[in-house]
Amino acid sequence: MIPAVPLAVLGLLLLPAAGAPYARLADLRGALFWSAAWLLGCGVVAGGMVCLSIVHIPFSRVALGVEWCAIITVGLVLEQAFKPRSLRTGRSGTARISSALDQRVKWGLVWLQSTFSRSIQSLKADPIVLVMLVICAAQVLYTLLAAIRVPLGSFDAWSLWEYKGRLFWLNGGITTSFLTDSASVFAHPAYPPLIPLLIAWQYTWIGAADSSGMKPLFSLYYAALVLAFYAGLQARAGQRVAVLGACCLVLIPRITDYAGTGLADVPLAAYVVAAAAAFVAAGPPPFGTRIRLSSAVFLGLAACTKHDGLVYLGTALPLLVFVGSRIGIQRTSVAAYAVAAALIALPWYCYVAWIHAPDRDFLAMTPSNIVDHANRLPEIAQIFGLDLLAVDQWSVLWYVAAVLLVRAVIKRQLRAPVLIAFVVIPLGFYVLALSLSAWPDYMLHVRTSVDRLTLVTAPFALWFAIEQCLGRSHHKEFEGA
Amino acid sequence: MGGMNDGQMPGAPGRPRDRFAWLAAATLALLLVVGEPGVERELQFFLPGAVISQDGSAPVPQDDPRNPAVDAAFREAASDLPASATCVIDQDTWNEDYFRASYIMMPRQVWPYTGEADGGTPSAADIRVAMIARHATCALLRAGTPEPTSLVRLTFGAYSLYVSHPAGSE
Repeated sequence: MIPAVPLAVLGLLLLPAAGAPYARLADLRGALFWSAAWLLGCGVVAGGMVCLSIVHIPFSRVALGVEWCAIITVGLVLEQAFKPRSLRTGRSGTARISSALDQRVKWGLVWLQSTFSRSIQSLKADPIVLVMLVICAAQVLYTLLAAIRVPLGSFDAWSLWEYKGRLFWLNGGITTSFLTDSASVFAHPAYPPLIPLLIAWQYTWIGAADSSGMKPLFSLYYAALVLAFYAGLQARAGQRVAVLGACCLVLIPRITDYAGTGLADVPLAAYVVAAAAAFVAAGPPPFGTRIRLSSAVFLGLAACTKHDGLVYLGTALPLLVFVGSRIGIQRTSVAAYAVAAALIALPWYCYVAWIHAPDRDFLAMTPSNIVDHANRLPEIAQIFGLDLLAVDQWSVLWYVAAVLLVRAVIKRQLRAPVLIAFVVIPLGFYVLALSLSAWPDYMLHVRTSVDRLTLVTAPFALWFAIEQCLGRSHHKEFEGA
Repeated sequence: MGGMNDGQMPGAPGRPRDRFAWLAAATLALLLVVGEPGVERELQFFLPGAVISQDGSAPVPQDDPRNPAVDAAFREAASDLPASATCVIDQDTWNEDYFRASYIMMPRQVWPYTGEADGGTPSAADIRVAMIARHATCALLRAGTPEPTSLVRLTFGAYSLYVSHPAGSE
């Protein structure tokens, strides 16, 4: 019998390996490449598992192994096929794939070696950066230890995600009977399946429903979030500010605390922040088309992670339409972005609507319901406001962001208002949505959701604060370049 | 991480790199002072020994303080039932013990006895009606819930397992 730990590690390693060719296809580099390799790997593997379910092939190590091989082969073929013509070799398909694999390994090693040597050089002259990197690494390690050592205790972690992951593993796939099972309505069968499928992926490799074998998934999502945040800031303000920003992010207690609990909020934050980072990294048109499209893919995957992902997708698309022409993005590019995100996000929602999968947390968002429950809004908004002021949860983040926002508005020096939109619009929507809670005690619904809903907006508030702080100086100034 | 200033000594007073170091150090100091309780909490994970207290609380947020006696009762009930069993629990559709029973006893199916939000304590007739409606062969009942006469008690605990026929004889 093969021990569970190596199999759990194998399951985890196969995910970024599956995503790497697609991250490369998207022309992502540096920290964003590593973040994307994980995020896309999780996405394509889960997508493959949906396909297995559709064709009624039960999850098994053999089935998932074949799926993984198919995914990575398709990735390498696509990468070769869509490479710029000047770089094509003219060799046979198999030889090209073999060459691509070889290049990937070499490329990865070269990148690691060059990054490592550059880092050592700069660290010698920059001990504060070393301190910040140690803090970031320690926080990731902390989430990993917490994930492995603490059993599933958070209600949503076991009732929404692990329950379904365990059931998919037991059933060998997603079954329509489960999706329409009103006995399991508390587990929200209609919720997007990405996280449960990844849990089923781990359980299949391990051969048992051992939650300590799947919880590292969430720590790795946390690492992907930190890397994506770093990459986004790096594109705007250089590496040193990016390290400082990443360090500030990992020192927000609520994000770090939730990272190892088996909740899907940190994975959602990772996808949304990666989408923002990729959009920024793409730079102005006509360059970065593929990177910009990868941003749409991340947003689509965000909607496959949690319902809330649709809120961010619904925030991003109108903003893109509104500001796209101002930053030189053509309408066709905006349409391509929307189509790419919708193609990934919408099939699941259409399917569960078609089969009438039961859900009962919220009343329908009809004008009459909104009016009837409008009296709840002030109380819910107050809970959100009080949560933002909790220093033990958010450190000084929201105080600093609020002061900088007020100052910027007064002085008319508001930079990157789009980042504020990614805070205000989702939070405003959540207040409205929770006023339509169908729970017998709607305030219990609010109290158990508020900090996790706020969590995804926190990186954007931090990003905004950093942009405002840098506002009066040149972005690259701290780099000394 | 970043190149050297052209023609400048790193860390020279008033230089951007120097200012960055001070800014970064001050930011970190502030965040660490503010987050000191969090640091203390995290340190527990780097020390040997259990990090879970007897009530199930842990240094990471758990919004669901678990009841070990309830969990144990469901585990014991599950061990006495075939995987295809369907049970009714004497809780309403919004009660967390019903959720917990569904989770722990899976793949066995568990139904609440009522779809109402606050069903109160059911009668023996309520349980019987629910079992017929759900084609259930077992019931999970708390002490104080009147048991239908046609059922046989198999386990004792926070929730006792009652079956129509002895498990495994069907």
